[in-house]
Formats: sequence, C-alpha cells, structure tokens
Amino acid sequence: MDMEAPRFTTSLKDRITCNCDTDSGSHSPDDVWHDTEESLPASVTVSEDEECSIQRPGLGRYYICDSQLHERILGSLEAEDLLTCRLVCHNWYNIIGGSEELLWKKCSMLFTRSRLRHIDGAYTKLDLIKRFHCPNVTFNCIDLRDEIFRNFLIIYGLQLKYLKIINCFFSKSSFDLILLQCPNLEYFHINCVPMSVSLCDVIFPPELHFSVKFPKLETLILERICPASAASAGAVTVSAGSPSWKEENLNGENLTGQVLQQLIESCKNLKRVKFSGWQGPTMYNLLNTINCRSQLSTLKTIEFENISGKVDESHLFAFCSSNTNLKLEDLSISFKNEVPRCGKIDDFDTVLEVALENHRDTLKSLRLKNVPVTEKAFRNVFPQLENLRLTSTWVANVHEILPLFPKLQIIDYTHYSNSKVKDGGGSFKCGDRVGLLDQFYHCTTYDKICLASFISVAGVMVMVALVFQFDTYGQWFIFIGFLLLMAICIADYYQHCKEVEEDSK
Amino acid sequence: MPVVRLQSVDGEVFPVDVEIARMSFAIRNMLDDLGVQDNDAEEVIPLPNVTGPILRKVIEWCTHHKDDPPPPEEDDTREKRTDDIPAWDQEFLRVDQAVLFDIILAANYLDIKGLLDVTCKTVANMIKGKTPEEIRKLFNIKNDFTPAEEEQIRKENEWCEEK
Repeated sequence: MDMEAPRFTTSLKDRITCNCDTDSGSHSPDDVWHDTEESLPASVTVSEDEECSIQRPGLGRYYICDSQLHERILGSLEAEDLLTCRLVCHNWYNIIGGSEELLWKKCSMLFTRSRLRHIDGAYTKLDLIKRFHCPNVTFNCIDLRDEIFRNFLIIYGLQLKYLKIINCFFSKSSFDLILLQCPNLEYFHINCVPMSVSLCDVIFPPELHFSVKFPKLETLILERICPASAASAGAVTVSAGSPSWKEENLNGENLTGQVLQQLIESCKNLKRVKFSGWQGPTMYNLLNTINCRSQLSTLKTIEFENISGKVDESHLFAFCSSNTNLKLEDLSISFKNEVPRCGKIDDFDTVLEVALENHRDTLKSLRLKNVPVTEKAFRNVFPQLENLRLTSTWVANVHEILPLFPKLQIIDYTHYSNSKVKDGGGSFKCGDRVGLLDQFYHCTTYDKICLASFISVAGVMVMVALVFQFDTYGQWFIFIGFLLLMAICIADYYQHCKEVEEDSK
Repeated sequence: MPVVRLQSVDGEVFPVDVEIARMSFAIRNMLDDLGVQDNDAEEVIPLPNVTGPILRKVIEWCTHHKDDPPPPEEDDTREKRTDDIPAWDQEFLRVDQAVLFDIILAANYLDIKGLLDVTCKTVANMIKGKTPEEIRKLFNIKNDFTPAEEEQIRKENEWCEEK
C-alpha cells in the first residue's frame, strides 16, 4: 500500500480541475484554462463578516475552470437566462455561444421581415450568422426568393440542423435549393402558403424524384396555414407587393402516395411526423407508405391535425395492416370538422381498434379530436398509456373505459356536442380523485337528496330520543343548537347538489 | 461493515463505511485499482483536493443518500429541470456560497453524480431571472466587455428566439 500510494496521488493531480485565481484582476479566457499547481482555495469559513463577504471567492474569483462544470450548471437554464448569461463575461460568452448543447438546443436564430429592415446591407446579415455559428434558423415572413437568402443557403446550408419556415414566400427554385444544400437537417418545419401556387407543386414537384436525402432528419412538420395564422401574418399582407391570403386555397390539397413514398424513403432516421391541414387521402397515403417501409422502426410519433375535406373511416384503413417494426408512442388524429357517424355504426370503432392494436403495448399518448368513435373502440388494456385526450368524440362515459389504462396520468375529454349525454366532459388528473368522490359527483341529484334526507331524519330521531332525558335549560339550549346546525348543513348540502347538477349540465 | 479512512488536505481523517465511500466513483476506482482488502482498514486514502469541513458535508450527503437508486443514465432528450430538488437537499445546501462552490468542486473531483447534479441545479436557480450585472455581483465576476462589445451581444441576443 505504501508503495502504491504515490502512484495514485499523481493521478489525482491530473484530475485537479479547479484553479485558484488569487488575483482578482483581469480574467482573460486564457487565464481560465491554464492549470496551476496551487490547486485549492483555502477553506472559507461560513461567516457573515463584512470583510469576508467581499473577499469570498465565487465563480469569478477562483474559476471553476472546467467548462464541463460550467455547462452542467448552465445546462438547466432556459433560453432566456442563457442569453442573459452571455452578457456576463467573455468566459461565459464563449462557453455558452460555443456549445450547441447549451444555447442552440433551446434557441434558433429568427429572421423576420421587420427586423431585417433595421439591418443595413446584405453583408451585415450574413456576417451576423457567421459570428453565431448557429445551426438553427427560423425564417418568418421573409421572401426567400431574395438573393441574400439564396446565398445564405449556398454558404451555410451544410451546417443547418434546424430549419423552420413560416409564412414565407418561396419559389420552386428556392425550395430546390433547400433540398440540395441542407443534407444535415434534423428538424424541418414548413408552415406557409405561397399565393396561388399549390404547395404540393412547389414543395413536391412531380419531376423532383428526391435524389436528395435527409439521412439525419428526425422531425418533419408540414403545415398548411390556417386562416387564424393567416390573420396573424399581418406583416406580410400590408407590405408592398405582397399577396393576400386566399382562404379557398387553404383547403383541398393532397399529396400523392408516390410523392410521400419518395419523401419517406429519403429520411431514414425519422422520429416524428406531423401533417397539419391536409386532406384525408393524404393521411391514407402517408400511413400506407409508412406501413410499407419496414426500415422506419425509428418512428415514434405521428400527428395528423386539422385533416380537412370529407373524411371517413377508410382513410384509417392503411393503419390496420400490421407493420410489426413500427411501434408508436404518440398518436394524434384530429379532424378539422366534426365528422358525422354514417354507414355502419361501428365502422370507426372497429377500424380504430384494429389500428391501435399493433401499438397498444408502447403507446404513451393518444389524442383524438372530432373522431366519431365510441368507447367500443377500446376493449383491451393499454399498459403504458399516460395521456389520453378525447376532444369531441362519441365516447359518452369515459369512466367505463378508465380501467383499461393503468398508468393514466392525464385525461381530457369532451363529448360530441349534439348528443344528449349528461356527462358532458371534463378533465382530471388521475389518482385519488377518480374514486369515491368522483363517483359521488356523478350520481344524480335524486340520489343525493335521498342520502341527505336519510341523514337528517336519523339525526332528528337521535335528538328526540335524547330530549326525554333533558331537565335543565342548558341541555335544551344545546339541543336547539344542534338542530340549527343540522338545518344549516342540510341547506348547504342541497345548495351543493344544485351546483353539481348545473356543472354537469 | 468495512471502513475506509479518508484524509482531507488539512490532515483530518474520516472513517467512512466502504459502501458510502464507494458512492464516489473516484474513490471506487482507487479502491479497485489498489485492490484494497477489507482487512486493510488502517490504510488512509488522502484526498488532496478536499478540505475537512467540505469532506464532512460530502460524507453527510452521501450518508443520507446511501439508499438512493442509482441515477438514470444521461439522457439528452430528457428536459433538465431545476425545480425537483428534494427538500432535505435544499436545506442541506443552504450554506455560504463559497461552501457551495467547494462542494461542487469536491463532488466533481470525487465524481459523485447525484451531489454534483443537485448542487449545479442550486447554482442554476441562483442565476435564473437575474440581470447580467446581478449575476456578476453574485459570483464576483469582473465585467471584461467593452461597452461596444456588450452592445454587440445585446443585438445578437435580439435575433434569438426560443425554439
């Protein structure tokens, strides 16, 4: 042991990571990194002494110079605080700005039309991006046909990982540029409608056979703009030469199976797909494509939102054939409009039941909106499901199916509005509230009145029995007090029952 | 239960249960490297980077957390939170700032992940919502930016938005 001891003492010295900077003067970043032999600050006594609190060391005085430690401390901050921390000192600025993990995981660089007006000259814009080393870019209300952005994509396309395009104008060629210049994208989000141009034609022209690949793409979001966000894009509408949104263009587009197949084949690492504002057949085509691609085992989340046009259960059929590699954790299907139940009454139930069967063991979150299913769609246990949201579905009595979800934490449900069901909807966090109390809230007022009457009658009986033994004024006084108290309780109880009744209406 | 003796830089010796000492990966590696046997109880492990008062705090934390399940693997996708510090730890870390930093350094040096996590979160909570000037004052950091540089960074920050 004595022979061994020196060996590990030296190895300990190698591990020394702190640097006692006794000079409180200049802290250039270089100071931070050189190791000193005088390794540890003297022990500091815990004291509120004035002199001591001035002298006390902090992150500044003896740097915790290990940038890993800095990253660990700063890593749990939100984007806003991180940006503030960049202003603290050169050291922090370099650590935060230089780390993708810290800042760029939480932030992206935002380009908007109004902001760009304040910047003089194209050089400044590009210079700014260069200084940032930023892999994340959001374009909002920008004309991407502008030469500056074409240059931007050519120069910086390779380093882009996160690209979000909202309310932008682009031509077919500017989109081709994105496809060709940004092979390292991990997140790709488009939400826009160029005027009077079909989004499909621009984004997915038939002649473009996806010779490009997105091998790292994890998230793909394709949103049609909805009227609400068209209104919020006011900056675009007012500016000179800009087109106005036409609502009739907002609906009614479809992506063909062939296009989707090419798209999906070019992304081998896809984890999340979100399609918003497309028509039912697009959903069918995409599901069909995904089902045929056995290599897409990475896919965990599928979201279809605001599916418009005429939708029926046949659009979900593709989901029913079994691709055993695909195990979804999160599924969301929302139709733009309420879909009436037609045809055979059980159609939607059966299709959904079969569709979910393959993912039953892994599904953690299920959201359905305007999908006309009833509780019959849920027959088997979903062992992992934590989050269930049923908005405007035909599930009338959620309490019936609750036992199927042993791990459920959040449930949120509203019933299809036309139906006359007493249990209109609600939401609660699962746990102790789904018990006696919840059952009580859902029993009828009649039951409650019966219960209240029973209690009050029993109470009065007991009181009367006691009366015969009374002989002093004091005892009578207590008895009357009891009666009053009881009357108040009963009145309060009836009031409560009324409220519950009104709530459930 | 077998005991190891840990010696702080100022010569204080702490007898500690092996199981508790092994929560520190640095000590665990030393013990494994040296092949320390149970009967070597008289051997002393010097810790040249940790002072007595700090080592006492660290041992106190380890003793309280000795039955904790091992911390989960580093997971990038998991959202890092700072509001999940257990009450006992919050009370335990209500110490002078200098002591807190010493504990961080000790936890880092001794490689005790749980303690490092909770102390770093505590410091992060101190930073939250403060202005740069307040942060500098808090940590006694000198502002080494020129006004022009500061203005430049402010401008840069305006270009960022939350994802």
